[in-house]
Amino acid sequence: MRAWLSLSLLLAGCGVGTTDPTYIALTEARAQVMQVGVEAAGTAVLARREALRDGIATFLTPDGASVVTQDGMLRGTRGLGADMLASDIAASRALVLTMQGWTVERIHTFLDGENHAVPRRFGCIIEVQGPRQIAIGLQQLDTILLTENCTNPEQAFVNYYWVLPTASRVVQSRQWGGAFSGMLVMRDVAP
Amino acid sequence: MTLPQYWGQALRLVAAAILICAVAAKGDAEQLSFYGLPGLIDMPSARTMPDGNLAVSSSYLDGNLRNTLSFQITPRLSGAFRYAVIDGFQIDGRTLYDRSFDLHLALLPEGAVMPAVALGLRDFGGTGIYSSEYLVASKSIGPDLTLTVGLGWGRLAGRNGFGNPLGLLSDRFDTRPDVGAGGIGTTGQLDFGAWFRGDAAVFGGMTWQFAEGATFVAEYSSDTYARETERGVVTQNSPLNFGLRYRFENGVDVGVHALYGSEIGVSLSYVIDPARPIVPGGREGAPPSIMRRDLVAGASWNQQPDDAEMRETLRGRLEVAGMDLRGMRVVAEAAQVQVENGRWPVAAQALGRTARIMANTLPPEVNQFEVTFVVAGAPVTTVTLHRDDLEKLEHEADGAALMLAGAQIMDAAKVVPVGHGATLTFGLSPYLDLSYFDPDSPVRADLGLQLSARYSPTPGVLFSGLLRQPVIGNIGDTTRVSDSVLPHVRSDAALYAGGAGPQINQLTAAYYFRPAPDLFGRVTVGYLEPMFGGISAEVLWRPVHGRLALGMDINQVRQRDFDQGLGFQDYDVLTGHASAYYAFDNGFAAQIDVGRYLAGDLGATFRLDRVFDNGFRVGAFATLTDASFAAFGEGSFDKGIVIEVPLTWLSGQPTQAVVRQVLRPVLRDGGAQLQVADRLYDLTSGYRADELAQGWGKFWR
Repeated sequence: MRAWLSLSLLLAGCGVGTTDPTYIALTEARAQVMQVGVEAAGTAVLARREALRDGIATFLTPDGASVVTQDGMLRGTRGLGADMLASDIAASRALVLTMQGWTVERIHTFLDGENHAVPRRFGCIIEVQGPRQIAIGLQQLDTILLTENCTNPEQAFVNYYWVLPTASRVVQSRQWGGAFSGMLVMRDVAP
Repeated sequence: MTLPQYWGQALRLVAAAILICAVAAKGDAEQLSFYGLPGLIDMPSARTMPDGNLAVSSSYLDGNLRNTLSFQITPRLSGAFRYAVIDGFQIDGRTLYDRSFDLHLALLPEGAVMPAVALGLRDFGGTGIYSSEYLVASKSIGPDLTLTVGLGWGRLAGRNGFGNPLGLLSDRFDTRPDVGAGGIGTTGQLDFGAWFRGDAAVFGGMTWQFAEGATFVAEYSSDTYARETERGVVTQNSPLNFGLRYRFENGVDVGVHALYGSEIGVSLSYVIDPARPIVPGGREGAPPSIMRRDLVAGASWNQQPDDAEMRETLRGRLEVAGMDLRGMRVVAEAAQVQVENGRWPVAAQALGRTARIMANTLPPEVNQFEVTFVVAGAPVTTVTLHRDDLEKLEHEADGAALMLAGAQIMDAAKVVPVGHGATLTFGLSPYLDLSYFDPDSPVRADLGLQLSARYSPTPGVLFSGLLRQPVIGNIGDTTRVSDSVLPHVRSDAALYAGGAGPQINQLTAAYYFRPAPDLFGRVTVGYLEPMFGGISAEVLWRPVHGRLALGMDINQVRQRDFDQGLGFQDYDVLTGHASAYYAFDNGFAAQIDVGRYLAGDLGATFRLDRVFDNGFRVGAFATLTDASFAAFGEGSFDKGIVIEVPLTWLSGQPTQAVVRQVLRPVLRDGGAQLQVADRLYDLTSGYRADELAQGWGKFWR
């Protein structure tokens, strides 16, 4: 994890390509920031919050892709390929934010190669791994680490959530974005 | 052709395929034979490719080159088109260039005990050099070993042939007529009088995957290469053939084979799954997210006494999103907008982005969005959505399905198109023209620059032109002169390509209009295509809900000068067709055109396409007219294969451009249709209800 973070910070400093105009406007407006990376690509960028509606936040990356989260839990992606269009994670979210282990079901809807929205249902086991101290900026935060082990007959993944009990939200995570994009790593950035 | 030359050509062929699909294929593709369909080496097997797979393959052994394009048309039926080059095969020692078609039908799928069983026809309508039929069974033993045994007729009954078992049914199966007897003039005609007739023989073999990606193949061949041996092309000492194949991660399959106890053969193949583009669903940036409605209400443009600033904001935002706002009206709670989609290959995506921009711009009391798609100035389809639904469903797992359920899709004939002044667009790009199967040079090409311009002074009126300047090429270099006895409406293609340029590829004035609900009209005047100019009129009935469309076109045209300048030649003709289009719900689309063709011949064209929902198409067509097979000449009638690949399939970027290739074994004058740009069925495609629904997964993308 640490190796990845230092790599990501390195990469974040040398972004190439054109920057999305909306992203520039969000930067100028000092919109809220989150660090997002695609693990397989070894990249990480600072995403800016474009919208917050009914507790669901959309964070835009400099190259115009976005991730959709609710209390730090992933609900969708745009622009990563075979995107996660939307999700039903209500049951997982209720347990993760209250730091309880149990068995739940979640649904992710993905866009496939023929432009179909394909729902995938997963059975998941949420487990509390215990307290972990993590650094966000200069702050040391006391978090609880939970894992969510999800499977269906075709696919399997494990999500990691570092939950800040005092804020009831996921402040750092490693979550599955789908078969095409793989694991996404997200992290709050100190204001 | 020597081995190094072969590799050069084969590599070029496969490199093109690899270029377009560096990551698409995976290791589950089926092993292909030297004939490009599932099989051993020369012998077929009963296996099939995964449904919809498209394969290019090339094999070479001592003077015999076979390049094959094969397609798994349905889960059971596959077809192949082959271009073979055989050194010294002709009686006078000249090289034979041969085109042939195969079909392979799976009769039974493999069961726990029962083998897979398939039936096949090789070269059922060419010159017949590969003419043969087979009934074959294959059975997997464990995950790595497959055994195959079969019964062959024709060429596949060359070794240890015995009396045809079908002779029990009828005496006529006992002898096989010579399918090549009619010479070049009868090619293209089905040889069904010969199928499964004459002696039969047994063949068989095995494939063994002994390591990841690596396979050993052995076969007992019932093909003696009788004619090749007789003409000294191939020496055959043994019926046993062996091969080693390796499939790379990227899907390229390479093989080395020991054949007939005397020859070394090589093979190269690549399989594409059209359902899996380079980046599924595209790589374009995120759409705008829907904002809280109270924030939109508080936006500066919604605080103004009039709506001028709001309209301007909407226009600007749509323009950034690739949509041209053609008109807007707010009536009570409903906002009606007309947009022309200039970027998105999938209409549902254009709709989704337009709707979100409306939700982020329009005053809060507007609750109903009526989006009309305008194409070439004519309104095509109106989709009505509810703003509440957009807000409610944006992040829901079943949001796409529910949004579609709540959408109302209607014909837009009654929508009055609104202009916003004249529009003018220019484009300068390179172009590449390809010409296939000239025996002297199987692939010819012209490369040049083209300048395109479109000017629309008012909705529905479109002036457009395409000027080409060839830079380098050899299509016009062919020394073959048309021997056609029909008017030379297409067979002088090389003369059209031979000029120094500039060439007026197209220069037209067109009017598109909606005469009545579900009806579309077009009139085009000018230099309609490189070889013909004149006037063209078309009407199309295409209900917004429905799979059937009917159309009619009539054209009075005159043949253009070879230099593609402004001049005309003497030949003129009245040509036109009645057309029926049907989109089946299993992904197939059929089209039948009945009418008069360019050479004045009367007949019908039949076309069947497999259409993937991402726009990738693989189709075949054939035209039969009252021009006799003899008058038509080589090939007997017009036919071919069409492959259309949306550029976005290759690049992952949003673009409406399509790479289209028509492969005709031979281009002659019978059954030739006028090629007018922007025919109404193509123009309206994508915007009717079924097609909107097919791409609906991209609504939220």
